[in-house]
Amino acid sequence: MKRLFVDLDRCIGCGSCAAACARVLGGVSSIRYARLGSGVEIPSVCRHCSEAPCLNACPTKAIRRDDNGIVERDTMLCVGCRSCVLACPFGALADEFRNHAAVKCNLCAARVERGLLPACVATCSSGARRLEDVAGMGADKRTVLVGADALGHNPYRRR
Amino acid sequence: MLERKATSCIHCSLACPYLLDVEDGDPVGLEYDAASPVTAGGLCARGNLAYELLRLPGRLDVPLVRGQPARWPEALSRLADEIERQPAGSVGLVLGADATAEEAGLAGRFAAECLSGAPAAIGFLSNEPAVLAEAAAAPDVPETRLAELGKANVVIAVGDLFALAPVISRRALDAKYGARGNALVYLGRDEGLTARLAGMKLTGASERRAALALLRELPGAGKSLPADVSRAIEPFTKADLAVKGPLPAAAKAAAGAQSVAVIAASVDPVAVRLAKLIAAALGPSASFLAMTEAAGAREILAAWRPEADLAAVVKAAMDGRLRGAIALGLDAVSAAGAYGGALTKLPLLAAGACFDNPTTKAAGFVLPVKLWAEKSGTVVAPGLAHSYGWILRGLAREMGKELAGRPAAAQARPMSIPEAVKAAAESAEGPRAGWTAREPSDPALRAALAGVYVA
Repeated sequence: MKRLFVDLDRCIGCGSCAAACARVLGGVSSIRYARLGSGVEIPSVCRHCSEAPCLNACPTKAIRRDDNGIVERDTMLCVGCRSCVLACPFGALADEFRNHAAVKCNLCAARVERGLLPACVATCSSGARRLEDVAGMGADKRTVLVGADALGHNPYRRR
Repeated sequence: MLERKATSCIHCSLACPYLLDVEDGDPVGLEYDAASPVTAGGLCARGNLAYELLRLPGRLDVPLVRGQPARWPEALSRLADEIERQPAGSVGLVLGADATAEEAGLAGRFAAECLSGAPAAIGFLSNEPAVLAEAAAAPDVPETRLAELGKANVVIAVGDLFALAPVISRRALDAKYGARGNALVYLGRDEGLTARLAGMKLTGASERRAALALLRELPGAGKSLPADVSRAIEPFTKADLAVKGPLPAAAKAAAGAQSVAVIAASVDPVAVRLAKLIAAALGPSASFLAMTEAAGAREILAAWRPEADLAAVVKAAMDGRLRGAIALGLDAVSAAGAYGGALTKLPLLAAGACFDNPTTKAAGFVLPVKLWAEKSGTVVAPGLAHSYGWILRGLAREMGKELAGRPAAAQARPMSIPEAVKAAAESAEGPRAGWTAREPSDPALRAALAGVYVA
């Protein structure tokens, strides 16, 4: 199961992920920005939660989980009530609407099927956005934290 | 038919490659070129949306003469008549910075042969000619290879590099995180995208002051600066040079590093020159690169080094030395700012543009022009739009001059395209080291180019 991550050690806040997302989704980006104190905007994106509040909040069952665990929204069923926007604890759902339907990240399923990376990962100008296997990440992180002392620096930052 | 065509972005001097999806001549989408050694597929926000400019509503697609639609032969012949009616040397020319090198060369010939030496300029919106002149000044420093920037130990950014060319951040951060002791050093005025991730920031002063402070701190720097640089920085007092940030630590990191890349992303020519002097002071470990806003600015200036700049053209209009002006691809009225009124009052104003702007509003002749991907044939241009080169050549023909030039070898006998390309390249300069070109897919062309392009 692969998920999107943003490496904050690399994100320069250039906004190219949002531009690519808007391009793919036809005008409205599904990427929301968290504004930090220094005026830098850090992109936040749907985490496809295992207990997804948006899924539970949707009155018309327009939001559902597909076979790959991706939380996706059916535009035909969406009535634009914004319950999902209110429910999302990360503020990752767009409150801008397109055709009366909330815009939502589906991990670029159509692109991934063709063997491509999601648009925001492919376009990221600093290499901060990554599509990574969740299963491998825990082990990876443990190795890094244990190895950090021995190696003297954090090899996790090499990417 | 949907085709995927390789093209490159024109929004800054990095010229990131990408693949444009073209359906029957219309751009419909893009794909990222993951094979690029510099960008690895990355594209900034501007690059992502640039192709939408090609089909934005409101594109000018037909020539207008005094507000009335006209066909090209009529528009060009009436414009030529009006130019010839003005006194010799009183019609200026401004060419947009998105011109190709060939168009710049042609514009130079047009200005000399058809406008009898009236002020003619390339309208760079920032300071490209001065920046590139300073970047080319002595001493000689090896040029930074962007594909290998990630292997540098210290990257020194003079100015907000990531804001000018966000895609460079990938390689600059590769360098920063590559090994222990590596650093990204930012010299500049403001907090910006580069400052956010730079490990060492020398800020609080202008780019040239920060660069001078670092240069003074380096052990390899000579006591005396070149005369023109010292003149430029003469007014600085010691207090002026106080910059915020770890100055000695930055100097130590740069001097001790195995390889240092100094990249100037400043519109201040003095800062660019000082950046080059920093690279020179660091000795053989350092390389240098000056970035500009216009893609291909260096090639455009090499093809035609105009004696005037936009300011000189506007000044001539204010002094009454100009009776007319031709602005191709640049909104000269807006670019001239408060002095734009001088251009709108000219009896003859011709504007080559893609969209309506203050220059086209004031112009008697409005000529629709092609954008970059349309010139190369990647995308079909809307309506009757034509390239600057086509317009200038047609205008010259109406004035009885022939600007079209062909290599002598190609004129001598009929030959195939590969033969002609080879003959043209050889007759111009011969094989050149340092030329790089993507290998052509056509085997015949590839065979013909063997020995011409030396990677």
